[in-house]
Amino acid sequence: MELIFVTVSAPVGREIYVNGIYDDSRGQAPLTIILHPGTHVFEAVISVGPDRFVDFRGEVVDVEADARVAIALDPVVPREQV
Amino acid sequence: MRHPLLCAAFLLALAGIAGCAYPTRNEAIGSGGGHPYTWADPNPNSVGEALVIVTASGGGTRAAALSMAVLKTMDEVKLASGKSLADEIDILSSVSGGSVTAGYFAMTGVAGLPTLEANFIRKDGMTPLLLRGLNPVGLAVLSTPSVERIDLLIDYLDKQLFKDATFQSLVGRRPYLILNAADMVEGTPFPFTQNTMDLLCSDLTQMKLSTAVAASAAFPVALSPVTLKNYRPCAKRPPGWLDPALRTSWYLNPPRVAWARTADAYVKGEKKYVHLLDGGIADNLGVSEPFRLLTSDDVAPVLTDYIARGRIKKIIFVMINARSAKPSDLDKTQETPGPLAMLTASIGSSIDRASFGTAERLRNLLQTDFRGFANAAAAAGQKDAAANFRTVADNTQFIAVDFDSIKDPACRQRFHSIDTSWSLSGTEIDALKAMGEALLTESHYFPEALQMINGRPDRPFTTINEACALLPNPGG
Repeated sequence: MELIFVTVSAPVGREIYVNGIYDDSRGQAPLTIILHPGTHVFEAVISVGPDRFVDFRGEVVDVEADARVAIALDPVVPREQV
Repeated sequence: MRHPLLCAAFLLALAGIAGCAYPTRNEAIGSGGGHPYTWADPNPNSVGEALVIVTASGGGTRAAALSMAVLKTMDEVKLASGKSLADEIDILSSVSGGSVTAGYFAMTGVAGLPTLEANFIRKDGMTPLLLRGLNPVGLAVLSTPSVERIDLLIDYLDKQLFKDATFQSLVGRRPYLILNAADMVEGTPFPFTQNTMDLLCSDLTQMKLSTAVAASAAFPVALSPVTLKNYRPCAKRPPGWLDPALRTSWYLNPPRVAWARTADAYVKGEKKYVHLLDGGIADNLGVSEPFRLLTSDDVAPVLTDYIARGRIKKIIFVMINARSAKPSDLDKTQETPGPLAMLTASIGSSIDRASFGTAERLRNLLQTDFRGFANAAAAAGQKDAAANFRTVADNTQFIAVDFDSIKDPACRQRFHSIDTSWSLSGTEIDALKAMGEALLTESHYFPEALQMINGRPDRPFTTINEACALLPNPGG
């Protein structure tokens, strides 16, 4: 089993979620998230009442073991309900 | 009314046809309206951020009794908080016979164990199933699609234990229960979690515990599968992890991609129905889903992240294995085995051996990989994560409750030879209760686990030798 290290630099101060798991925030950007090799999606979400919307998103594709990658999430316009 | 008799006959026929529909075992999402059944954050708890996982294997009443004994013994380890180690179990994952105990324990806690013993473990479960199924009325009922052989077990479990309780009754309770069946077509584990049921757009809280336990214990051929309906396509989006997992190169993470491809078939609606059999076909130890929770980035809770961030500092993993290894007479003669012998041998040996690979991967993870993670994190400049992985690597105890650890070969063979059945003798049950306690507490790693959590036993425990004496040689 191996690890990769993804530094999410922006949006600063926003909670970051990985792979659509919105029950568990990974922490606030900027932060380094430790994952397993492969493709991963990173999102920031906002809640409007009971509804949840993604307003920032980024991804890393096929990152190999021990790699260190840095990304900044891009705005999602219009935001997407999830 | 022109033809009242014709009308009456037509209505009766309609009623008969309606009664011939296959049973619906699972409901669509949105039908319940309550909170989903999900994992509750383990941190903080009273054992210093320790994650406690127990897995219970298949093996009929043999497994149910052994698992019950282990849980009872864990309740007799007291902590400074006044709670017991059993109270601190975070995840309880099980298969087949182990699922009867796990399901009832999740529903009722330690207080329910005497009822489990009296109403199930000490009962002859085979005779009621056979009598109900083999009498003329039973046979006639079973010939209709609306009642299947698995309903004999579901109804018995409800009558004796679960009383039609659903997963709704577990919401907010600890431990987090994972009952494991196997997808008959895929040969893959099918854990009864909301993560899995989301793939079918189905609400786990509406499912009866007895149905999931029966699916986990649906021994091939003897019992019929539990068939779930796939409600996709539906309004609920596919889970967010599915797309990135499918786009991952297989070479980088084969287990992730393999599971994603199975999940995708569910989500696409290609599999309109999922036929579930005994979880032992895919994993008779019940360790595959806890292993996935400890290694996957695609499922909540993301335990690797909890460890990396220091939310979990210790792990106690108790793996209960009630594997049978009964000597066979087949290889004592040149006589060609008959069809029934071939069928039972191939099913049985597949179930008994299927878990070996996953158990070894789990053992490697707990005993080696976390140390490797620490080194990788350190090399990447992640000092805090490196320290946290190292802390867990130094504070993990893997305790295998396994007949294989009995040194005396004759005693070991006697326990391995206890039948896989829903009916055992009082002597066998007494011996299994004693041996479950002894195997846990005489484990090489048990004292270290106690020290890790400042636990103290409530009383002296039975020894393996004392447990052996309770199960005499047959005819001796």
